[in-house]
Amino acid sequence: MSVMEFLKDLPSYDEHNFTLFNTDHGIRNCSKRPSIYLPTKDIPSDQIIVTEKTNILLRYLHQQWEKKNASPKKRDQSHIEQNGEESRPRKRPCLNSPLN
Amino acid sequence: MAYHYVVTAQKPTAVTACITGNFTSPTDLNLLVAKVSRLEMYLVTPEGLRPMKEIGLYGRVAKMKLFRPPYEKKDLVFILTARYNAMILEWRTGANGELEVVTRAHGNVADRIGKPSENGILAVIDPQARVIGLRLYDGLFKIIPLDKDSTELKAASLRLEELSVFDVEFLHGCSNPTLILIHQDVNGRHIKTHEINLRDKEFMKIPWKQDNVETEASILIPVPSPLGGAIVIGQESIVYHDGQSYVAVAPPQIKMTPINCYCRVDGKGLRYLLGDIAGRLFMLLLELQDKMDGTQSVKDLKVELLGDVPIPECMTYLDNGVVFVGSRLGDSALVRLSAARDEAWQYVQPMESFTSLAPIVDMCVVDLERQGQNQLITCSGAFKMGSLRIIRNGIGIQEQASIDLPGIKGMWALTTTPDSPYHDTLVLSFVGQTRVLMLNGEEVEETEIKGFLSDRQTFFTGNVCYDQLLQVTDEGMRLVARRGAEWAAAAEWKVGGARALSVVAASETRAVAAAGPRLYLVAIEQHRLTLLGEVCMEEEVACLDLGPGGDEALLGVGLWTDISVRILRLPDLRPLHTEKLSGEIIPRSLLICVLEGVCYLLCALGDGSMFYFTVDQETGVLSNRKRVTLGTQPTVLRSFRTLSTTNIFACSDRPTVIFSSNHKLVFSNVNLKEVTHMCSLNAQAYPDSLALATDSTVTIGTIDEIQKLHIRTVPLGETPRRIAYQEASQTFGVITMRVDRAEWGGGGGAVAGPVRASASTAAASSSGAPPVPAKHAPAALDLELHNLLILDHHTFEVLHAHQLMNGEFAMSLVSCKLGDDPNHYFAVGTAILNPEESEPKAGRILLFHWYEGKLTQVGEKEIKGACYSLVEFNGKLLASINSTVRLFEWTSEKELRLECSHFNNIVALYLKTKGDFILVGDLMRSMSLLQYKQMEGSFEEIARDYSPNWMTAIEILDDDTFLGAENSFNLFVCQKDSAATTDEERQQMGYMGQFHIGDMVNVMRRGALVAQLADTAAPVARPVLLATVAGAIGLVVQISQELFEFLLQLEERLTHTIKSVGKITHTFWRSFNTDIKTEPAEGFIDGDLIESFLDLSREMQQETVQGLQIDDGGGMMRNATVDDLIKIVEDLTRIH
Repeated sequence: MSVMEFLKDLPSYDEHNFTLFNTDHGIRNCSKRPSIYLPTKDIPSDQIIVTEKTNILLRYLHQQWEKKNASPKKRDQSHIEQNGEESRPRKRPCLNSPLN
Repeated sequence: MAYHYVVTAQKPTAVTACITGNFTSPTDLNLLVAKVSRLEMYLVTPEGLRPMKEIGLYGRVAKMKLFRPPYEKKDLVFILTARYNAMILEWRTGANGELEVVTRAHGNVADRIGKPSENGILAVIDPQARVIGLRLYDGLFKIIPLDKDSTELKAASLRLEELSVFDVEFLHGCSNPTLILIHQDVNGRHIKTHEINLRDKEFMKIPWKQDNVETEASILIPVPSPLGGAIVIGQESIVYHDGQSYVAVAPPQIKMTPINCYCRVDGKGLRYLLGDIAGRLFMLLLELQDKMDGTQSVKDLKVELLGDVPIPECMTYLDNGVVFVGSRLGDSALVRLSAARDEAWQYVQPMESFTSLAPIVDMCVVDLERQGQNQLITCSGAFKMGSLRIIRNGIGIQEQASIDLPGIKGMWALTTTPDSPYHDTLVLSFVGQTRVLMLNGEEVEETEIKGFLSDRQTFFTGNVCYDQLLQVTDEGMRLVARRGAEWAAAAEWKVGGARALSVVAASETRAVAAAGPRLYLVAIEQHRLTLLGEVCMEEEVACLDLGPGGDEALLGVGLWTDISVRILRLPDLRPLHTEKLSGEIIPRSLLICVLEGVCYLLCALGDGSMFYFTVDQETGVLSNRKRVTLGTQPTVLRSFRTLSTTNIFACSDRPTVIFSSNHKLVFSNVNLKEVTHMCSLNAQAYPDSLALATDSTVTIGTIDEIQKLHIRTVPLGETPRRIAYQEASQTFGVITMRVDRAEWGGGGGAVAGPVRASASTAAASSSGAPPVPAKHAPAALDLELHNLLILDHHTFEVLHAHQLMNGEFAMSLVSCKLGDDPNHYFAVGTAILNPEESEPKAGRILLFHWYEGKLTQVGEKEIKGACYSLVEFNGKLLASINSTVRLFEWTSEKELRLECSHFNNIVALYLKTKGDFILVGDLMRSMSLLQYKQMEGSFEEIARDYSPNWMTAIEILDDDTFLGAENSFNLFVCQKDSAATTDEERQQMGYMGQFHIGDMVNVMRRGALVAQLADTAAPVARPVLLATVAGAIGLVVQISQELFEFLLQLEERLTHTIKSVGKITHTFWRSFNTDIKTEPAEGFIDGDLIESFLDLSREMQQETVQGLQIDDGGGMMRNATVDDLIKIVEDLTRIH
């Protein structure tokens, strides 16, 4: 396969971009730095990223406990189906380990 | 106590990440580049990249990713800093049309416990922008579901079974966000997918996995829909896997060097660019086949080498075949892909380069011209991008045009077109002739002005009143006036007597000329020159200038023999003042001008020095006499106007621009070698320009508004490691490392040869170990060869290359003069490496003498370890060898003899000395101070910092104060307490300052880039220059407690005025932070924040200053004004 095939029809967002770029005088050296942005206006941010503080073990135990308490009651069908497959205690001594 | 001010003179230049997207508007195509803690936004235009805005972040960018939620028309940017601050940023045009950056979301995602992953932070965003995934700690995967409607984005950690993860990505086209990762266990590397349940924040199942992919597989490329799946890049093979089937290839081209980055070319994901660590660019193409069900699948993977690019850290495809290649190891570049090869048989052509100093490994501060103006020579870049960079501070002239014309003695710009605001003619005078150049657009052609004398040297010409031209030659003055469309001579005044005119000064209406000691004052009238008066001075006139004031102007005259300056008053040439200059050097050029309302008289002497005074315009009295040295040659002073301010240009072998700021004269170097004459030029094609003459050419150029660092590159083509300057031999010694590649020869043995021409292979002469057959196993194909290069200090030509033994690494280099030996030597410290040993057990110290174009090895000492650093110390050679510090004496038998040793380090990496004191920087035990006891010939440990700091650079600030940099990007200052009462207290260094500089400092050197000239001094002392891995150059100076406390208040106010992008607080960013502790910054002023005061609008400045108290000079406190602050901060900006 020729290199032509690799390099044909390179994507173009705006066909004018870089058309007026002049390399007649050799490789250009960009010395311009953009002007510096100094924000002085306080724009409150829409969202705050918060980290869940609970330990993942505790969260897991809570989840299990909730499942155990909640599952015999309503929404039983869907829950059992969903959790049935990957209920942790069954998966623990997993087949994965010899593979790894 | 000690107080310090730290400021960045050169911002980091290493590119750490780059992305292309529509950030500033839905239609703009932008390039966003991250340089450690700074972001640069560019716009893609037909002319190329246009810089838009630069942002400083209060954190080091660890990961930068773009994403577009389904409800957005623009791309957003997710950034995670090295200290786990996450943010989502949007660029938008604000109410006033200015670009602004909105922090859409922010927060810290650090966990209190967790082992940070050795493979670094990984961050990925689901292609449908449902969730951000972060791998920060081993065994945990953090997800941030992107919920549009909630005010909180709740990050949650999931347990990840795979401990050692090398790369992770989200797969395309999955109903639930699905991760794919490369992980390693005892059996090798595997890929595995995980489907995420966002509601329960759990991994649900493993849709597919593939065990035992290539052992060095390290990059995953997710392939967009409809193909889906992912490409796995290994060291030798490339695999495409879509869950059901896979295609694997092992292209021979990629075998030699590992691929380290990629970028997608087309949206469908069929083409990718791959870059390897040797700086080669490949294209990967997925070849498709049609399946029975009408869909397509990958049939084959093809790889093609396109050509050489800078060694990439990151790449991004911009548009129409143009790619930005970001590098950490040298200049980044814009390159164009084209199907047609160029002369060098490459499918990739460089378009533009972006200067980068990174990584700066070593540097030296030298005053090459011995004029108090330091230059910095850095060892920058690595491998094929290795170079020396010569950095100096000054005002730049941007050359617009140049004409070759030797022997220019004077130069003036004229306007000959009626009522034109522009100059259109340049008059050049030579010995015995005058030539007239007409500026016709950008073209220059020789012409004549009727009535002008062309067969004599012109001393002055200019436009004068009544639309006339004045020309002054040795025989007299001529007035040339318009007659219709032509010029014609209108009047003439000839000097009487035997002496010819030699110096002249003129205003619009008056001309003063001197012939010998006689001064003539001539009035310029319409078509008439009238002699108003003449006086005879005591001595011959050497130079003169007319001040402002028209008919009653002051006249300054510099005299021969008695070396004095006289002030006279027009019209009767009445003497007002006499000022004797000291010394025997005659004045050569005199200038009276008003800068910022203050009238100055400047008088330059024949030796390049200059006196300057303030002039009382009423009495003519000169006061505030000051003297500076500008160059070494006779200096010509000319005033010029740019941007409506008057400045002074001092033409000499070291051209200088003199301007006034805050009623002080500021001297700034110009990035030109030599200028003999200059004049302002404001032509239509060259507005607001200067014409500058050297011995051979006239250059037309514009002048920078401010002084800044100018960088010149000396490419080496191999990695520079150490540099030392030797003034005696006018050379630089440079240690370089070259990687040779072993080729299997016909005889069965390997012969290593250089991969490409570089400084050490192209040296004028060479010596040392010959290329020997490699003894390495075939696995070790690359051979590191270390050379000592000798470079000429002016031309930087490589005069000599001395190659060290195979397996010998040069670690340190110093130029020294030892004992009674009058010669200067280069001392090289080496380590001989054995791959089986945990630390080097052998090494050498070699002494070389460069004399009359020959390098001779004059000494050799075998040592038991690696010589990490060498310093000349009291005429002896001080070395740190593994854990020891040792002092060697150069005996009269020309041998290095061990005098004494000190053993109390893990690895003594760095040494600095002052007097009898030695500061030692340890690998992991911070700094300690030793004293050399001359009488006993032994070392004594005086004090030590007991903190476990992993050092990267050290420096002695003063007798008691020491500056250190450690590997978590912090600076700290320790002080020994000699006055402490107990031994125990004395032995412990106390902390006087700590500060997060946010970059790894590799080298510190005492010195500054700005000469301390009379008027410009900010109240700072003991400057130390820092250079970093990211290519930044910083400066640490000591300041007084009063200034420190004042600036601290300003800094605190600025943290409120200037809102941080990403909402990271300044206090958090500058706090001293390591794995084991985080403590607030102290003892340092953040100069970068202080200097940003000058960039604020006047209203914001006013708001910041509100209520700030300043000492009025007499101990009384008063409210500070904006102008007080501008003055203080501007002075501080001039220290770098």
